[in-house]
Amino acid sequence: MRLLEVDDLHVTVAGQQILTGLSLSIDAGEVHAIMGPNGSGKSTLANVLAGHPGYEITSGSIRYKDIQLEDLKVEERAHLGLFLAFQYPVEIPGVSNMEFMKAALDAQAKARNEEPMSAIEFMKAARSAAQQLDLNPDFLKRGVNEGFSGGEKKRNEILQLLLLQPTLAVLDETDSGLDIDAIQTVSAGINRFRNADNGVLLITHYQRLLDYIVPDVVHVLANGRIIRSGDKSLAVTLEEKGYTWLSAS
Amino acid sequence: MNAAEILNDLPSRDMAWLNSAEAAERLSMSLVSGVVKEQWKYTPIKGFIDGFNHLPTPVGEMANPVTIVIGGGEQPQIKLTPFSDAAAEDLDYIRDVLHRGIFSERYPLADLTALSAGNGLFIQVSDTPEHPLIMDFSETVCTPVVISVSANVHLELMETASAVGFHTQFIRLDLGEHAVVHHARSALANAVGHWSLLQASIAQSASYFVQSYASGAERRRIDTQIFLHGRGASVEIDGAYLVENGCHLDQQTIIEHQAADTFSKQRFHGIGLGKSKTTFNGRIHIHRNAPGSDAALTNKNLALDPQTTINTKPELEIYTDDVKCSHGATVGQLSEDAVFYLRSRGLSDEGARAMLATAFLKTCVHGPLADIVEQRFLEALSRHSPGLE
Repeated sequence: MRLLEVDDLHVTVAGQQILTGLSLSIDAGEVHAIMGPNGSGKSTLANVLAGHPGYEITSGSIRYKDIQLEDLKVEERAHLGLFLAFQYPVEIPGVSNMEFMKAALDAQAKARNEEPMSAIEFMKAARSAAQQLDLNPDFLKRGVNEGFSGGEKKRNEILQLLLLQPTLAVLDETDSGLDIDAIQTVSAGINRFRNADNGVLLITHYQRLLDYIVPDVVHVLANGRIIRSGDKSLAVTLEEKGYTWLSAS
Repeated sequence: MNAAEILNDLPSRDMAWLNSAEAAERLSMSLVSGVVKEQWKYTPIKGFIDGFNHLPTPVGEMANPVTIVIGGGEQPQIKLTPFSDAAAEDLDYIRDVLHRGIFSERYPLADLTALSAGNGLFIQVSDTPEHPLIMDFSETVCTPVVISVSANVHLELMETASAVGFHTQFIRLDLGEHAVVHHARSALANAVGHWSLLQASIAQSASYFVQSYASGAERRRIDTQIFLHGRGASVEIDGAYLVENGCHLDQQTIIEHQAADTFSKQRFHGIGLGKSKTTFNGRIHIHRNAPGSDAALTNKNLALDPQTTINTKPELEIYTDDVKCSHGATVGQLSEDAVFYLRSRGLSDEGARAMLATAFLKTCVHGPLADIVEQRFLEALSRHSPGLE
């Protein structure tokens, strides 16, 4: 089943053209990795998919589960199972992780006409997710990302992923700022999330992450569009030869 | 209107405990003073004076103007005495603290309050009580309350102002050496007019912790003045306020560091909604004989509507070297990045904004009044954005 179909997408930010004709399709059960030099448009793609109001689609289209995504509000995309793990998660003092996640789950359940998760079920699920990510359960009581280290913030994003169980997860540089052990823990969490019905779009700078989360397809994004796609070996080659190899070849 | 006219119009009163001629003279002076005009710039004092002249019941005829509840029933550690029944030496003390402190050019309404007050309450806390002392100013009152906390005593004090008519609150608190007082206070009713003056005098090594929560009202001004007069005296104030459309709130705090090694920390978070008017003025005054003082003041505000007016001003006056003093005041809007983050998890735009606004206030809300205060703030935010989840 096709989850995401991006066709000839052009996007501007503050009047500046960032994406210049990006096309990409992701089917259920697939993991796609996007690599590319700084400023190539990777985070722009992530933000556009999530519906950030600062990005303007000037042409092209995004279909998600056969729905025209650009017509939907940010929260409506979340209700349909789209999830963005932020590159820079926001700190929200005064709202506990638990309170935030319960509110998010309740809002999503309400939008889908489902019964909200009971407080006990929620606590169990939250504790289990924290355990899987080697996070102390006290973490759940703390303010959202408040005073978290870079690595803790990234793990907290994956904790949210495990709790919300979206259909398509866009992970924007989730590996940046993680030490080797944390990369393994986070990767294990993402691998647990993977199944035949969902998809993952991994945005990363480093091939290292792909040792733990093996992608089905690797794309190279440069100057706002995908210039090369291949299997995992493409990431290995890039690591060895750098992006200049592509522009030269 | 001059002071004589105001005094002539006041309801019946018993001023035996006060030198009324002196008060009248001071009132007369202060009403024309430039200092008063500046200090009452954001809350026209005339509205309050009119309030005194239109009290529904003469103050002297009010039966129970302030409700005092001592948790767990009467406790021998707490003694309540109306001013009219106070022993001569107690009356001297009351008169002394009032004249030394509250009655000043800065607070002309204190004179007016005292002149119109039929009586006052003197509360002595001689030993640590097992239960908190609870005060509710629930009626249209102008009753002064003087609380004396003896040395080494620990006291939990809870104070609410629930009156909706015109009222003034007038609390003087003296902490003896090494005393510790936790004081939770709220003024959440939409009163016609409410002026509150809390004045605390902190002796050596005594600690005073205040949680202060307020909503806007038709006209509300809250003055807080703390005298850290003993070495090592300290005060910490956490405050949160929310001012709804059409409402007014003016808060003025003054911390007087009068002795060495004194400590003060103030943190106030506030939100203005709709066409509201909010003022915060925080003054820290470090006297010449107060080296080693450590003072910090933070006031953060969110203006959630283009029509909201928020004035904030920290003031530092430092007369000695070797002090630590920091202050910060901001007025801003909600972070759109944070709104986006919450919406990306499924919360509606309004739900995300309400959660962020509540969280902003909640960082300063704790203690025994936290639940009721959070609930009231959330209700106010919901009124502002009816679609909140």
